[in-house]
Amino acid sequence: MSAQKRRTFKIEAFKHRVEIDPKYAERTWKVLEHAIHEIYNHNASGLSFEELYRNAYNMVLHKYGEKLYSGLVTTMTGHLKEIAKSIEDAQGSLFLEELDRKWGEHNKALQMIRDIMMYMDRTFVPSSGRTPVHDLGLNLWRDNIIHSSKIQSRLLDTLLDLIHRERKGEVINRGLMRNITKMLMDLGPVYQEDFEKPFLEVSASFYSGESQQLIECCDCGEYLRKAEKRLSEETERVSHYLDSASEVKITSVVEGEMIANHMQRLVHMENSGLVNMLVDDKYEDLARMYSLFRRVTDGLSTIRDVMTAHLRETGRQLVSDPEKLKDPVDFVQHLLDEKDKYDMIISKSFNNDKTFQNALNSSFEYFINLNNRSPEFISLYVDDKLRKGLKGVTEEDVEVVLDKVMMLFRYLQEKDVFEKYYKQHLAKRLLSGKTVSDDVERSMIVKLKTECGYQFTSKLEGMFTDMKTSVDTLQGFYASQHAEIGDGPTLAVQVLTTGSWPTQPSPPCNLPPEIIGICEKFRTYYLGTHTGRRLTWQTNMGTADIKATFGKGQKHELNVSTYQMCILMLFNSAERLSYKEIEQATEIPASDLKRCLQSIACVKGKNVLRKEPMSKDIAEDDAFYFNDKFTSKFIKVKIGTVAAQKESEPEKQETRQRVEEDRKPQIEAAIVRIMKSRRVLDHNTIVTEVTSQLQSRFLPNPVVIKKRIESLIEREFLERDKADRKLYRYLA
Amino acid sequence: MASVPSEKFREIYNFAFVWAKEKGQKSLALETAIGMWQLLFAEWHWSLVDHWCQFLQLKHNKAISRDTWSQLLEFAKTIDLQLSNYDEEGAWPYLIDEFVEYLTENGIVQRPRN
Repeated sequence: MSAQKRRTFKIEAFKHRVEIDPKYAERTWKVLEHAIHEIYNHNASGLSFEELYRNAYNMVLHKYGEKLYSGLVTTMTGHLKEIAKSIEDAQGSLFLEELDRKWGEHNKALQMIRDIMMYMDRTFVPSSGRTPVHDLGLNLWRDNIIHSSKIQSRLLDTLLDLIHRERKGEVINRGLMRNITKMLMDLGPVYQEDFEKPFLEVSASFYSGESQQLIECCDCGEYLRKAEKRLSEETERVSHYLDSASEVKITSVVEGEMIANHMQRLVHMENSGLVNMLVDDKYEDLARMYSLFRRVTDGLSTIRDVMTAHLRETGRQLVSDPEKLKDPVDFVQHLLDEKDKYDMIISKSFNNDKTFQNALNSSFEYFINLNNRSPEFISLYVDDKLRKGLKGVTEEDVEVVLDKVMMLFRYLQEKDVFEKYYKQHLAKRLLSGKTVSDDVERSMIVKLKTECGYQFTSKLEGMFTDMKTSVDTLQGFYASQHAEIGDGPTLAVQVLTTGSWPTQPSPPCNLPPEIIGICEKFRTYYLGTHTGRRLTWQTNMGTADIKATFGKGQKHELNVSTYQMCILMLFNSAERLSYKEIEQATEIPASDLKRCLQSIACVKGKNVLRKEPMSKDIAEDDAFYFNDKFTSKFIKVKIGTVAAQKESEPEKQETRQRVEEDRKPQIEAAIVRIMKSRRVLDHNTIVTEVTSQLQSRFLPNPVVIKKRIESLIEREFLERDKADRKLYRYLA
Repeated sequence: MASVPSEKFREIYNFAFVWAKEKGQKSLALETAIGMWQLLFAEWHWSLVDHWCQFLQLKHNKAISRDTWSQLLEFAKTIDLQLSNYDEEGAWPYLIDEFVEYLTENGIVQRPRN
């Protein structure tokens, strides 16, 4: 077989343009037009999708896309105008229902039309820049229905009216509402422009009116409850039938009208406002106020400011009320209770908000320091808690209380004053053996050390060391004495290192001969083992236990101060003694002597001595007798006056003076430190720096700082700058 | 205010302190200081000198430090008689601050309010 040459077949295109018959285009369009009519008339079942699609396809293919598109627009518009009429004619509540139904139908129709026109949608539409069929359908709906003059305002009014009625408590058809708003959302900006904007305006005036009404007739708590309810209603409304983006807008309208516009009036409402809620611990109301006000600008700061002002005022009253200041322990307890109260409020109602905590702290700091006896009183409170004999108080309880006291301590501006008093009170507790436990004492010192540094507490710790050492010393003393003591009085000695204990001037008094012997023996023993030291008896700080036998033979054991012992022992050798004789014999200073005599001669149940005349005060020509007729139901009678008490006015002045004296060197040291490192500084900067360096202990007075500077100039540590008299220079 | 004291006057003024005080003392006894001031301010006139001396006798009654002495001249030199340019934050010695208070409290000078 020979290979045949293959001949390629060629199909040539027509050499002339093949035009579709225009009449054909018109006929094709008519088919489609008819189909659209049928679709709108709910007769789509008889149509053939394939045929219609093909017709549309052909028209586009043969360049009749324009005719197809514009025909579509015209036809749809025509139908929509009819639909508009039927909606307009609907009466009453049927209006929305009709609108909803027609919308549903339109969407179905649009779907089918789009499917039929899909080829045009994909080719002619993009290339000619026309709106795609689906969007076209929506736009035509919008223009012919929603924006039709007879429908537009009626639609809005109907919707707003329904919402208003629902707000008034009526039940409305939420499903229908949902469909309508969803329709508006589908139409692009129509929802925002045509509905949401007026909705917000109308809501604003609704809530403005309602809030005006409510504020006249409700108390604060009620009002807030109603506002909260309205807010949650609106949120719920949005979730049911509005665009979720509307939520924040409508809630901000409600917040503005109901809360922001009435904040001041609510907060200051008489008998029910913020202050009343605070005073009465209305946690729920306060929490509600917090959560509502937090939504608006300056809401929380409004609450905070009113709370602060109230706190400061009540605090100021508390610290200046002489009634409340009578008992220091009571006073501090009030402070602690107040702090507890507000801590609770902030935790339960204010979400532990830090800014509120700060406001609380700054208020406390403000009023605690208004009274310059606060440091003394707080120390007395601690003293009270640390004394033995508080019934039913466990160590754990005391710890909890001490931690709270530390919070108050932190507010003090004059911490050095507290230190002075704490030392005094601690000394008394230790020396009289009246502390609840050594461990608790030490734990308090640790707390102070953590707060203020080691220097604050080093002396306090020295006091404990002395107590311990004294026990050992005493043991050693008795071991060395053996039989030599016999029936004599028993001595208990605490040896105090001068630097650690509060300095007290100790005028000596004449000890009774019964005591002197053993005191001297102790002195000899001690100096024997500690050469180079000097011992001074602090007769104003000691105590004694004396056994006394009275007229009918009744025996009592009296616990008295050393001074009182000296006085009483005199009556072993005299029946009657005048004030002057007692003064001469004992050499106790007059004011102390009078106080002692008062406590053993003028107090019922403790009058071991009898005084003539029987007046309450001690006069220079009074006479004293041993009171044979003394009775007491206790065998052991405590008469000593050694417990810590709040200072008398002159004592207070003295302490304050000492504190001021102590501050001078601290201020000078700070000035020198600062100038040494900065070399040249102006006056105001020095004052600022010194204040900031010392503020953990006390707040230095700028006038005192100035005087210290001048003193340092005098002593040639500093000089004024020659050119600028406001500058100071460090002199090496 | 008439004129500004000369540099010479200032030297003499400051020297006067050293010369008038007791040997070994740091400060100048008040009586002596007052006498010196009256002398010196006769030379260069300062109209508040009498009030100053009165104030010291009433309220201070102690010796005068060197710094106070020298700063007083600065005060007399720069601060006008209405005290309108006196600045509380001006790092003046505290005695001078107290003097200003004394003058205003007793109505001797009416400080203009700003």
